[in-house]
Amino acid sequence: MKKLIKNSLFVQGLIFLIFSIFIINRAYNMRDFGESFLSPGIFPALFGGVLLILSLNLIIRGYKEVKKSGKNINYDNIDKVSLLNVIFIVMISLIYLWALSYLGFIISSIVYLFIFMFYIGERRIWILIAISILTPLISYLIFSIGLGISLP
Amino acid sequence: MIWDILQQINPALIGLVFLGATSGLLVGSIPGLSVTMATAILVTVTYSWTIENAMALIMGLYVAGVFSGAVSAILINIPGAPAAVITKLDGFPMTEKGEAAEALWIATFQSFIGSLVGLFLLAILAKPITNIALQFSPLDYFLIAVFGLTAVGALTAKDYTKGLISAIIGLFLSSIGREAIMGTARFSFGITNLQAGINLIAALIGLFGFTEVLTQIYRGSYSAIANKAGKVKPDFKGALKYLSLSIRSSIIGTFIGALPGCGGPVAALISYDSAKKTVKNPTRPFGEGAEEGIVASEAANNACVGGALIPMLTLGIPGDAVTAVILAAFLVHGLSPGPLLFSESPELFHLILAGGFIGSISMLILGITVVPRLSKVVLIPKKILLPVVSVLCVIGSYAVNNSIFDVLVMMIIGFLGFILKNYDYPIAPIVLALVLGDIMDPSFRRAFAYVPSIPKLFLSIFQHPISLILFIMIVISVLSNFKLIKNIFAYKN
Repeated sequence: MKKLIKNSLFVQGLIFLIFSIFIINRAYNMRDFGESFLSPGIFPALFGGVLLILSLNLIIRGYKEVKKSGKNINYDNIDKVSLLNVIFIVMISLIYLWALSYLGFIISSIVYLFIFMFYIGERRIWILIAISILTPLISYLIFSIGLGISLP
Repeated sequence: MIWDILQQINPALIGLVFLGATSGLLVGSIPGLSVTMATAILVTVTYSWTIENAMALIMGLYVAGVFSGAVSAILINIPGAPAAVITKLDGFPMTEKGEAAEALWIATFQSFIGSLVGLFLLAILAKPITNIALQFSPLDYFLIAVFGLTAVGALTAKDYTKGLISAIIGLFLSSIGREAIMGTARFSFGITNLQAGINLIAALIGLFGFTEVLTQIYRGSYSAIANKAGKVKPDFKGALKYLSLSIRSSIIGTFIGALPGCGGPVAALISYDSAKKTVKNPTRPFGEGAEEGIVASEAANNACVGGALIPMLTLGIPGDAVTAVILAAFLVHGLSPGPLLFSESPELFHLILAGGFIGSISMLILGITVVPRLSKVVLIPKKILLPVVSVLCVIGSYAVNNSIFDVLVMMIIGFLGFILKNYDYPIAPIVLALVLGDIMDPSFRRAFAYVPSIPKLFLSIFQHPISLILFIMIVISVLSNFKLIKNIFAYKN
């Protein structure tokens, strides 16, 4: 059982199986399901059913992999440091999104660009400052003033 | 007909079309911006213009804009437009091999061929194609969308099951929000902003823009691609060796474009799939930098320009998102596209054709002269490019509806795309399913409404020739991806 849980395909299949059951359940509870073919639940039930079959395929393949590999366990080699970098970028992006509503596009973008470039390794201070300031300013000129597109 | 088109050409028309083409090229090649958005802006900008001048500018932007999505797809693996999703499969691998200039030239020339063929077919086949499209039942629309998704096997060289799961995820995302028939909110979980559904442009930017940024962060490689982009050297002789594939792909693109709602991505996919199955000895395996892949994709998606205009001009039904905006331009100027257009305003039809042809020539000129300058963006270190692309993604997803929520959707879907990509679930089927979901759902339910039992619905496929052909195509598409069938064919060869 432990080997199965550590098998990537098996876990993926399990996740999608749960997701498919969720979709089918929600579809079943939509109006007129089972009474009218125009029910909004018909189409979700259809693709939910297909997803259920596909997820079972993944589960069976995962099981076969474990059985075939014997004592060898199929690990997915996820680089945890790299993943942390991604999560950090996602977090600062979400903070940037929040700041857009309060500080506006230009100030938020200057700070965001500076932190982003610095974090991924840009150390030339003149590049950091120039790109951080020029990018939002040029974007503002082109989009907001030139094309009349509202920026946050 | 030719004389009628030539009569529309004058210096003002040429100037406006060229200006539109330049704008379309710049907008479409920047990830985060879209031709649809640019066209929508042009409708408001040209509100006080004459319809002729407005159409000239818009046609230039449309033709070049569809092509320009390929520029960023080839150079930085982020398609500038949905139609360029397929182009990046072989375009970016060519860039990684130092063949960016060659890839750009192929995309330019094949887009030119595709545009010409599409517009030519628009001129002569508008009426007959409309008659065939009118015979498509809801079941046929559903079946062609299913075929589009099953053909996703062409994009998932590694695992067909994962490709289909990606497509299902796309269908799920497309079903979020108020559905078209009864107005029921689905999967919105009580969130008001979700009741309008997932914005397609925000999802596209998230899946291809933000996902790519996160993927590059994960890989940790921030140096510039060691690529000599160089000048585009027009090699007409080399390009013409793909003429038969170009024309075949262009015909596919025109016909798919004529089906309302299908558009560039479906046309490019079907054409690519066809090329993959029929080209015996590609320059490289498809997906690894095959020139034929770019030929099939670009010829088809630019031929869609002519194709998508067919239902818009003849039925008043837009063929894709851009033609929906062009339709709005007609209405703003007090005109109603439809069957009466040919009798009441035939000169407008000829002007649109003239604008399209000049736009194609402008695109070719710009592709040879301006696009190589754009290729310098590849030489910018990723430490600078990735953050700037992120900001462009924010601008692009915000600009559609002036909504911060769309930016949040873009980031969430981008992160989801990153996770899926990490586990070898392809991204392109999600986008395709997002587009096709809006066709499949109402078509499926309407098909059921006409024949309210499953066995009768299945039997009706065999009673309608179009449905039968589509069903056979689906079966072939699915079966050809089963290992057993592949082994049988490999053994026979």
